[in-house]
Amino acid sequence: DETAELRDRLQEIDTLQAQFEQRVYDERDLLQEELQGELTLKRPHYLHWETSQPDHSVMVADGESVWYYNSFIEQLSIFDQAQSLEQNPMLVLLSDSDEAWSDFAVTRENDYWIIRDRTQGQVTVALSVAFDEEGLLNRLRVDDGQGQISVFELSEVTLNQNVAADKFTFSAPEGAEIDDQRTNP
Amino acid sequence: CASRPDSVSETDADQQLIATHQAQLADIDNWEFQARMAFFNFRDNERHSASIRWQQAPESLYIRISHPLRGTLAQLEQQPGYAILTDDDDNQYYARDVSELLVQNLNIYLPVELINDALLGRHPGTRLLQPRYFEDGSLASYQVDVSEPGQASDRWSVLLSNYAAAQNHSALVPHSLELESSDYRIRLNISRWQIISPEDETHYD
Repeated sequence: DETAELRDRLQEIDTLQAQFEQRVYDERDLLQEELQGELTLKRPHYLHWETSQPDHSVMVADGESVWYYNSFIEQLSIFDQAQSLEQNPMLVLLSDSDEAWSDFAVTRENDYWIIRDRTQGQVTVALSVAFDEEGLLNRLRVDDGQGQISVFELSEVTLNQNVAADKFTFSAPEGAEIDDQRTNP
Repeated sequence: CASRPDSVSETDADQQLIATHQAQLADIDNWEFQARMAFFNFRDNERHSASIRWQQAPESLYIRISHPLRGTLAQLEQQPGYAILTDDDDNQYYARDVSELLVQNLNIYLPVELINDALLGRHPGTRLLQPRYFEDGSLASYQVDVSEPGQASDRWSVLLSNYAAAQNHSALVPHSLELESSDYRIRLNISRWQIISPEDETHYD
């Protein structure tokens, strides 16, 4: 069963740190955007996703909330982590509960594992993950179901290193607008 | 942010350079750009950032608003006589044009015609107030009132900079824009400009 096999692979990841290069393609397969940054993932709840180019933005998931700071508009948006899978499809890689995974269908295509959210409405977002020969996660692909495809090439991938706790906390820069969308802030 | 080069008032500017540049822009009616957009809604005290692809053709307009991680957020398409908004769950909403779509569905009032001209650095059809120009004759800033006769004033100030040639056309077009009214501010950092000139169009058919 593909789901079990993928979860076994993800089970080997306690922490993952990497640089990423993201390319966004449109429905005509034309390259629209290129972004760069670094990500740190610590299962089962934590994610630090920082984009350095073209603008600086930081997304931190701390297990309860997702903190998303965008320097282009100098705003910190805060969401409940449970409801913010759409903020960053990568959050699905953190989940390790049977209940969480029951919402997803996993299939295999070439060297990609494709994770589709069964519960979404008419549009299905598909996150695909690929591993290199040594079993290291090295590429991610997000198909938003409406013509936009993002490909993330990971490099300098290190697994299961110690990660400082403050990597998964975030405080807004001076003067930032706060946009708190949590149900109980 | 990067400092703006000096600009001069209309009276001090080189009229010949202005006319040459505006003539280059006049017949452009088929173009597309990709940009990072910051949208400030002072009325509702909200601000949003997104990626935007704006595709203008002689008879149609297509706008895709998306986010690098969350994917497509909305698509707006305008054809002669109607316009459609498709949201991120494929629900569709109809109106006569994009401006009406934005008002009905997002409670946002935007002068799409003004924006269309501003994007190219082209003189809008309406009267320019306090225009200023860069040394090469390109439009640096101006104000314009887009309200209909008898309506409350709707004055917008437009700041243009980072002029450079589009990928496949000699005309210099702005790659940084800021449009502001009493209710909204729109900031665009354009990463990709494409202009389809008439010869290319016939090449397409």
